[in-house]
Amino acid sequence: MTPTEFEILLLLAESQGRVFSAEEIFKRVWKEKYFGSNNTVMVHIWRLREKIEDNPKEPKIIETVWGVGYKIES
Amino acid sequence: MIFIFWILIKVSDFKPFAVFFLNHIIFFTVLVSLFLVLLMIICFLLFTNSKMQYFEEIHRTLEYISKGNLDISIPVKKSDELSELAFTINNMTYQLRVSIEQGKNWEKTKNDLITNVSHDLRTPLTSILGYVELIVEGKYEDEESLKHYADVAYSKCKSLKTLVDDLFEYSKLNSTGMKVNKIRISLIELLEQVIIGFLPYLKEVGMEYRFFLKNEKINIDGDPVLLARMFDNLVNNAVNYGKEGKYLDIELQQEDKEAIVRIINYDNPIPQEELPLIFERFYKVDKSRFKYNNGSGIGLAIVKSIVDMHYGIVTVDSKDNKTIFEVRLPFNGLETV
Repeated sequence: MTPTEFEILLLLAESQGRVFSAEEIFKRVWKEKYFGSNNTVMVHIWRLREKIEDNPKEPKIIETVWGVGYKIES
Repeated sequence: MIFIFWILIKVSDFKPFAVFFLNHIIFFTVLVSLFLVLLMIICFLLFTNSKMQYFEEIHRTLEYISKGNLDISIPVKKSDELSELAFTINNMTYQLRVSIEQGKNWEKTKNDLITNVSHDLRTPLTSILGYVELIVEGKYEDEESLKHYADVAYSKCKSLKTLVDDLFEYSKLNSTGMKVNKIRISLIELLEQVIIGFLPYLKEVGMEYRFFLKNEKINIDGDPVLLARMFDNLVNNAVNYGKEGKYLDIELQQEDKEAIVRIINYDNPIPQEELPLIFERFYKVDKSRFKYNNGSGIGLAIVKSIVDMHYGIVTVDSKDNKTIFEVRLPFNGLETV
């Protein structure tokens, strides 16, 4: 796991149940300005899921809240 | 009148008429009253006769209609209550005729669906049976062919499952009790989330996705799970048919009261004459030409159902090696006039 992936995991795990949008994740982990869409977050979420989920296509740990963001359920 | 007076004069036995009249004043009063009543009845009959005839006509037609002849209509003559009644009856028979026609169409669609489903279910099932039989009866030459048989059976099983899942989804969407849980969501976020699921596949087939945003934030009211499913189907369609085209483009923009999403793939354009049929269930563009096609043929029908539920519009255009699926969704998720 790369440091960035770990940071994302940490962010979500520290506030379990809270939903983080891609924009919020980007701002808190990369600490840069976010413009509309950013595939960096998408790619990292996928890689993270590949590493920790049994089936990354049906994630159970890092859940998708459609149209809102991602969360780790407590 | 003259006749009556003549009789009266006769009856009065040549006495002066005035004396006779005064003596029989009550008789005269009654006589005149009777005459007036008679006159009224005649007038009434004359006046209502045409109405009665029209009424009879309505009655006869109604009887005819009640026997199941819905093609007939009652002539609307004047603008009175009876004509209004006739107009309403005509309207009613028309509505009945339409709904009967609709019922017949539904019946036909349902039968077609069952025929298609049975066919689509039987084909992979037959082949699974065949391969599994070979395995069970030990009719394979070596480990490699055994593995091949198992692989084929497995992949057919998977496509069978896709078909059954899609069918279930489709019938669920089209049942009347289906509820749409609308909340405010970010369309960009949703599309990104859908794309994430395709990242490994895109990498595998060497495709690249590109986002084109005209606006930084587009929020709409919609059912997030249904919309995710809808975009998933569209993207799935685009990567299946466009994998030789290198790019998967997603354009997002906002107009007056709606959000517009375009999902574009290149290569393998859909023939113009097939475009209008593409959202019908089980329609697959010329199966032989697309050997990679693993869709169930219900995917785009599901897309249409979900877009309809959000009072949106989905269209497709395919030309110059470019296929564009465009979804327009009203922001508030309400019917737009």
